Amino acid sequence: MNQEISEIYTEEFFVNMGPQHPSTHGVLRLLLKMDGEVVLDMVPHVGYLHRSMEKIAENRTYYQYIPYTDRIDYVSAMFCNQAFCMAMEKLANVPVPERAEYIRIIMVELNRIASHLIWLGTFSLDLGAITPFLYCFREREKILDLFEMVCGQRMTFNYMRVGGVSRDITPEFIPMAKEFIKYFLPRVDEYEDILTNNPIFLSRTKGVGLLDQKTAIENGVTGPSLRGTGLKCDLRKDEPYSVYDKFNFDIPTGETSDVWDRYMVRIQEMRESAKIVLQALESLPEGPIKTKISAVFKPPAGEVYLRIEAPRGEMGFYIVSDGSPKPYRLKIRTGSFSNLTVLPIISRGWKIADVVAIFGSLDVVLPEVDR
Amino acid sequence: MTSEEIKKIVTEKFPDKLKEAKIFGFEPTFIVEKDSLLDVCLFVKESKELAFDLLSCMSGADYPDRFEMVYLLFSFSRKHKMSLKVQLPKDNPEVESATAVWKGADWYEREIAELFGIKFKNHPDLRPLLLPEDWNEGYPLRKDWTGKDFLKMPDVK
Amino acid sequence: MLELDQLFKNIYLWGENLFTQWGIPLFWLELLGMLIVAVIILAFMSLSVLFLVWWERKVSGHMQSRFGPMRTGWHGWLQTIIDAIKLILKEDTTPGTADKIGFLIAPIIVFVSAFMAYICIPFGKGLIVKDLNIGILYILAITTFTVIGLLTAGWCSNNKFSVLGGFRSAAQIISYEVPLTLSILGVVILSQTLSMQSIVNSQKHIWEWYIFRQPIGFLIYLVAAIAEINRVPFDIPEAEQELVAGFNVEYSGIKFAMFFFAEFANLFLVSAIATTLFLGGWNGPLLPSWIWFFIKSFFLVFVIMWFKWTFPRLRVDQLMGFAWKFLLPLAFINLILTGLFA
Repeated sequence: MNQEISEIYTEEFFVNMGPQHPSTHGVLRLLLKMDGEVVLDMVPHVGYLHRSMEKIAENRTYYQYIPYTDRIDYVSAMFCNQAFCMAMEKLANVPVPERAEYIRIIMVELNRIASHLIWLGTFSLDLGAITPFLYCFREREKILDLFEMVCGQRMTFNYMRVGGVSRDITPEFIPMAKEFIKYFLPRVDEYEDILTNNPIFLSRTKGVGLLDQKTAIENGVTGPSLRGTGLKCDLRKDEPYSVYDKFNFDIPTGETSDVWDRYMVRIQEMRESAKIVLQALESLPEGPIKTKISAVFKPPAGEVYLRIEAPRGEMGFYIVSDGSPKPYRLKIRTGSFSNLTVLPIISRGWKIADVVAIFGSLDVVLPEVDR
Repeated sequence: MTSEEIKKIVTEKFPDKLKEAKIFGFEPTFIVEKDSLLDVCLFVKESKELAFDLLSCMSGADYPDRFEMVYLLFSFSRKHKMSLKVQLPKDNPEVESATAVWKGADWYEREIAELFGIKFKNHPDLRPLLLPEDWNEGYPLRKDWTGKDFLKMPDVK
Repeated sequence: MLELDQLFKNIYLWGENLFTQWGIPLFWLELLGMLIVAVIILAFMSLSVLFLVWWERKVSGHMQSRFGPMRTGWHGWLQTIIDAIKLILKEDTTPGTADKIGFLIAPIIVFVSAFMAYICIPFGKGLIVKDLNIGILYILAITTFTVIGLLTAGWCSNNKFSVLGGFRSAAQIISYEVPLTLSILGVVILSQTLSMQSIVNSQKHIWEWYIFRQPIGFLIYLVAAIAEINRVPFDIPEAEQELVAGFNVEYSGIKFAMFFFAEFANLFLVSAIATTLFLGGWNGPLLPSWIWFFIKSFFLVFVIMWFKWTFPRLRVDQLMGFAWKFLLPLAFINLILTGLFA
């Protein structure tokens, strides 16, 4: 009997998942080495969306580059705007009026909600639940309406400027934003109703794709994926930039660092962000929205590295200036880039269906990886 | 821990291997000798007081007279930050890979290797990351690079 | 009343008269009758599939706070007809490396197995093509042929995703066949017959419906049937997000349309069987029997759609575990209890 079984010839095979695949969220190619349904090894191939952002930066003035930052991560463009402008402000020591800081925070936190909504929708889609996707987009639409009201754009905002923001918010914005938050919080409960305690969802996410804290930090994983491992780390609290120290909010963390924890952290973060937006709207000070600076922005020679807490982890700009109006060297650090590196490590030994869930839970946006 | 304290610890440990220790950028910044880079990296990661466990970012830069690698570090447990720099010669730039210390350096080094042409010794897998597999037009992020579609913008005064 | 069985009987009698008048052997009438019935069944299947596709899109749309198709005709009722025409007219490509014969046969097998099962469905009082005395057994046997078609499709496409899809469907359908059959056996024990019409006749009043005497059996049947027809949450053979489209990833045009057709035909089929076995079939007050049958069947179809748009998808090993570790023991317990108390 045993001999008969050993005579059956089996072999591992390679599957190219992507670049065109429904659940690789953009154009990522995963080369999977599979034994039946089990993934033995994986090699991610990126670069299909490489637009040479860093080379372009060296060839543009600082102001001209702000619209480009929108395209780094189009799902959370406000964060790219903010990080780049804050880096320049730090480089040239430009003060930012308080009202502008508040408006920035309202915008980025709304953007964080929008970004997490996209993540939630696509993640549940990856698990085969189609309906939450539409629900998430319904709410995101309202956030985009708010953005459109303020800066005229829905995806690529080009809203922040060195020393402030480009336009003041309109008087109708505040009541509308407050109304949105009031409308939004029960919606989060609705998502939870349909997913959090669903036994199928639990069996697909609980205990799947364990990412232990040491591996995560070793590989530079940041953001919600790292908080899912139970580490209380958030740049908004660790080194409060902008005016985050004036707001009262919590950092949600996970316990077992599986897919479910990463899901739960992001769900909680949406509530926290809503809390911050509400506080900022309540205490929005009057005043100017932009510091006057010269039309040609020439920061002094020097270097700066500035990080902010974006929805997908740390987003940082390393800028070397030689005193000219163009950056000498600009390096963009994005959360997705580092988060993607752990994917092969945590998906080894899981089934192909789990790989999809794990990849979804890391919340990788490919243009951010390739830049 | 403040920048001054970090500076003190590192300079005491490596008195002769740090070329320069001045505060700018992601402060404090040390310019490390090429050969002792791994030692310094290991020390700042493993030492109890410093514990720089996160390689936040890693970047190269092409200056007229040298290449420069910069390692931007952050510590989750201590909440402080610093950066290390290595200067490399223009001809045959080569440096020890930091993957032995921080695994996260892997993809950063692959990116730098293909965009700047800096070689990393003992890197596990130095395939190109972002550029096409058949790319043979040199190293795009070097300042003297000109591709066939590259158009330089006029200078701004 | 609006009962249709008399109508068909009269047509047959009229044909018999005509044939004896003209002196043609009645054998030809039988043959002609079979042909006509086959065409009627095919037409009915097509209509119900067209309707179900449209309905699925409407149901999903309204569950997801949107409208679904709205532009073609009143509330988009023309949409599926247009889609069907598009699929039929579309270029039918066969991958260069595919096994040509198997690639061609697979959709036909799937289609035919769905088609043949309709013979034993009692649509109304006297409205059944052939009331076989082993009716339910015949349906179970014939629908299992689907798996051969899916496996052939997966293997002959010569694509890794479709091979995985084919294997998954084989494993899944064979596993769920067991609890499905066991859950049906409970009804068979109670009604003491395998004939579909007799099963319907044994539940004349609402308190005689087997859903009340076999509630566990009904639930097992529903779950296993959803798995049999590869729908969410058991749609792993074509899991869009994992295997792109599973076994039918290489199919296009008319061959894809046949898979699609068979899927929705099977959706109606399992609801119709559940109606017959557990919900009293066409029995009901006031309305004609066939209307009652459709009301009950389409309600079950709606329930299955409701599942699809609410649940995430199970993983392949969880799916197998669920069948063998939970459904099968439960089905056995149900069967033993039924046997003891019947």
